[in-house]
Amino acid sequence: MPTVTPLLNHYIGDRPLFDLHGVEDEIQKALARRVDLKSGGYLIFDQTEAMTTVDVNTGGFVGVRNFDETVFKTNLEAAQTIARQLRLRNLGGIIITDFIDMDSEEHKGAVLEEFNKALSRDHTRLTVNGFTALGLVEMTRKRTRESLAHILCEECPTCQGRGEVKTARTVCYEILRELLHEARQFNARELRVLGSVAVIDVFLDEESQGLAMLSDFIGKPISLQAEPSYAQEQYDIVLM
Amino acid sequence: MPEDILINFTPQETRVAVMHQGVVQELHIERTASRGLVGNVYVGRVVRILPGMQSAFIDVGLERTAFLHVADIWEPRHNGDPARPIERILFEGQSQLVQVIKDPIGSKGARLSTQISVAGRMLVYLPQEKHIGISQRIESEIERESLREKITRLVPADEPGGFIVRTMAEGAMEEEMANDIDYLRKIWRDLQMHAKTAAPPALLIRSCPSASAYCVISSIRKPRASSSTRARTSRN
Repeated sequence: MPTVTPLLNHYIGDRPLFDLHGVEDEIQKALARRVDLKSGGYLIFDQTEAMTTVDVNTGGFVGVRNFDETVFKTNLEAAQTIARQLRLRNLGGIIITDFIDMDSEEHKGAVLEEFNKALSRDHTRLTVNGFTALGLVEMTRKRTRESLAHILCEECPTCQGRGEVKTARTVCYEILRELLHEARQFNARELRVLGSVAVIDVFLDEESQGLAMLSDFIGKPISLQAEPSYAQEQYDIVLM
Repeated sequence: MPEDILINFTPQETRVAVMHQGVVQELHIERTASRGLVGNVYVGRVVRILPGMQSAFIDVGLERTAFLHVADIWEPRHNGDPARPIERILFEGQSQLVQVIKDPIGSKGARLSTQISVAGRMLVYLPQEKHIGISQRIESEIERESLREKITRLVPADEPGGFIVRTMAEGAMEEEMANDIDYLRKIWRDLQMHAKTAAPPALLIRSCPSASAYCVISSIRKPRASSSTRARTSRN
């Protein structure tokens, strides 16, 4: 340890060190699903239970005479960026990359070579198995520490990690079915729907007719109450 | 290839960024609150011995007493000696040097061993056992032999402990390995000094000051003709 002391430099500047060197920005980028490439294309990273998938897109980058050349260049840049992002994100296990389809075997070979070269900087043990029958590049990277996302993030409480919520309209239709069911089962004077702002908006606007029809059908008034604290999928039906 | 290592240290977390040509290549983040205990060395106090389970509970100052099974008690064993039962090795109230081998989980306390190992970058030091081992992951028989020969030559003759050579040592220079040996022996000497005066239960060493910062810092090598490595630290 003493031998490295001369190499240490105590930073005392006013501007935070990580800010100065753009590390804060890189951390934010390493948490995002989408990573933009300089060539105009972009990558989409998805970490699932079984594996991590990376999708390479041209991002509608057209207008160059030679389409094959554009794809090739985008894939080359993607190969370098993916290798670096895997390190930053510390992703382990199976990693599958869907490069943009290339017809030329020569291009395929060159992209794979570039990928291997970029990955050779990695200290973690990895194996690259090359293109699969479907044209995906298959590799594994040893899991050492937890991934960056696992250290810094938690599952989304709104969607429980699915990444999607039911649309306001889907929730509206669920509520209509539930209202009918409740009205048949219990004898209430009035029914009140407590829902998220987005869901109540749909009831007040596009689905107002459907709600009025249901109210006539069950012969009871239905009132609406928007609850700003409710998540989109959340609702309650109150018997009055 | 110029490489900078930026270290941002706060009481809550330690963040390390490995930069290459001004671009971040690796990030290591470790939080004080969620740091694992594996590798920590304590002087603990034996609070209970359970002969039926051949185990003991040791107070190391954690919320829950830690668990020590007879199989994890290291004893210099001569061939043919039968293993002693735990009640003949430990007694209640005794202080004992222990290392965490498994983090506490849920309602279970940490699991301990009395065999201490101190991991460096290229070597793992086993201060209580004279044994030279080579990681199984180094497959080349020639490399294994050369490493065994190198380490045997580097370890001082009066060294009572042993070393395990890690994969990182593959192709390492002798000087680098010698540095690791000195460093690990110093950690152990400091620990023993500390153990003499510490009142149990006491933490003697944390596995890594920051696992990441420690590993990275110990990886900084002397600048070569074509390379320079600098590390900068900041506290804010």
